[in-house]
Amino acid sequence: MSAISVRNLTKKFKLFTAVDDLSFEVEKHHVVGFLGPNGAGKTTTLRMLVGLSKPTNGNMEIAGTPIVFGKSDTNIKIGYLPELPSMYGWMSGHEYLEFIADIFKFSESKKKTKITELLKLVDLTDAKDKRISTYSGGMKQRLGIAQALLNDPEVIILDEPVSALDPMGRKEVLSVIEKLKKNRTVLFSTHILSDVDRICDDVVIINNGKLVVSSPLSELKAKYASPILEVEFISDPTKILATVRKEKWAKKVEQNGNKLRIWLFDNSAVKSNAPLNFLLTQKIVVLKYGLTLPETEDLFINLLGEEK
Amino acid sequence: MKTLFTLIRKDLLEQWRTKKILILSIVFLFVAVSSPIIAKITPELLKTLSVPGMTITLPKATYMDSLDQFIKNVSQIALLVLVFVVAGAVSDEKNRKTLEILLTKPVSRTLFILSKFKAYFISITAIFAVSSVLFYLYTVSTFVSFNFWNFALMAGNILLYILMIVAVTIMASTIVGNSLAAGGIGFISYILFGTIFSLFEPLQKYSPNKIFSAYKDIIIKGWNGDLLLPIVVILSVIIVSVLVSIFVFQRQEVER
Repeated sequence: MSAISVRNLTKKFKLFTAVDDLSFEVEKHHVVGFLGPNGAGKTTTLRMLVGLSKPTNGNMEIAGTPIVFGKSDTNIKIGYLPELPSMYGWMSGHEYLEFIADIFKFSESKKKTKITELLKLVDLTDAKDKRISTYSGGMKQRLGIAQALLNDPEVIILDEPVSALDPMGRKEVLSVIEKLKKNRTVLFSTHILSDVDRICDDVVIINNGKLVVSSPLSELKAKYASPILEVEFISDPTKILATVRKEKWAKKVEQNGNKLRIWLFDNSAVKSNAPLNFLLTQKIVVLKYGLTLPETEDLFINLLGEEK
Repeated sequence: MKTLFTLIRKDLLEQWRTKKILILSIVFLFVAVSSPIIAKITPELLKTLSVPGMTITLPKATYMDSLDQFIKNVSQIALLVLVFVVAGAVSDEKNRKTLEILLTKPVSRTLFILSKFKAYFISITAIFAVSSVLFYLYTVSTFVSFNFWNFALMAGNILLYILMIVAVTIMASTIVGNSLAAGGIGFISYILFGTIFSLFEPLQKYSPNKIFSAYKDIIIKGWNGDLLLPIVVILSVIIVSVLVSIFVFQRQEVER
């Protein structure tokens, strides 16, 4: 049984179709990156999954229980963090978590233990008695994560959980998500693709409301991502940039100081040593030459088609 | 039941922290205290307006004038303020997106709506009860004593009318996404209840506004059987407002 099952999901807003016959499954205890360009339909899909938005068509299940719009049956199994979460500004962070704990009917001792533990986890212990209206965007995001984890949900759905955080905050939140995958399923949307590389087992990529691909990340990289050559020169390689771009094996070339990053169409060029042979004919000394692992960003660009 | 209690407690705390209870208390207490004073000093004020050659003769103010003033102030000033304080009950949660997280918890939409009605009914009943007792004590001490239980019966009827306007306003707040529009609908409903029933002769016996016109009868004679139908209408409007709010909210999407 999948942790999340989405079948033929469609959402239409008058003439605009935000989600178009989308189907995918999320395995139990996997961390899944939900990716797509802006306006792809990620947030709309997540909002249908948590019952905030009504699907035009299709079925969804959380841990085997069907999601019915307007009913709260599956809510006991999920923890949800919306993009830019809004909480009661007149409450303190501690009061808000107490309020959510009361909704889940926690005993007094469980409430105290769990809230203390989560406030520590999201680093809000010192600010717990301050009004939420005085919190920064990052603090609100961290409190939002705490409320999503309060009921130890089977499935955690996070919409852009780290977008409002500074690098340190992002690192901490990603560590929290990473720890969760031992016994939780996490589906999170993000546009920070390096985060996907760091913590995701699988990815679901959508575009224009339609599924592009749903697969384990490693398989996808092996199948779709272009091999990348990283070459370091002794001096500025700008003069050879145009020539490299003209080579038939070069899909895309980027320069960063004395380094070139060359996306190849496939591995055949590497096997035949064509790029190295070409570079050696140029009048510039090569310091380093090596193949690097493709990242999700490369995969994303490849799948959604960015031009050379 | 525990979830409903949690939601009501949260709503009451919100009313307290966002000073809604304070605003309503000030308005109702002002009405309670000012009504006997205005009734007492109005004849004195009018006397000072007399000019040579013109004599203004006014009867001495009684507790009935104080009641008259109280009814006028409650039905005009207090109700207007009340409608605009209550107008954000549901629409503010939608606009501020605070219900996004709440509705992804084990909270049924029915309980969410019921908590809004119950929390406002509790706070307004408490504020109106305190104001009414204060008004009674002040009127009795300024004028003469009159039957407390008859007064309590009259105040209870007025409270029902107030709760009806509150219920219609919360229903409007659920249906429309804007608290100003919800307040406007609440206020218009108050005007409509006053006019529609009086336009058609056969409907007059059902008019909720009879509560206001029959207060003198209740104060002097006690329960008036003519008020039964208006009370049934008031209770029906309250129940229908709650049911419509639940029905609409269960089908509403939470917009981003």
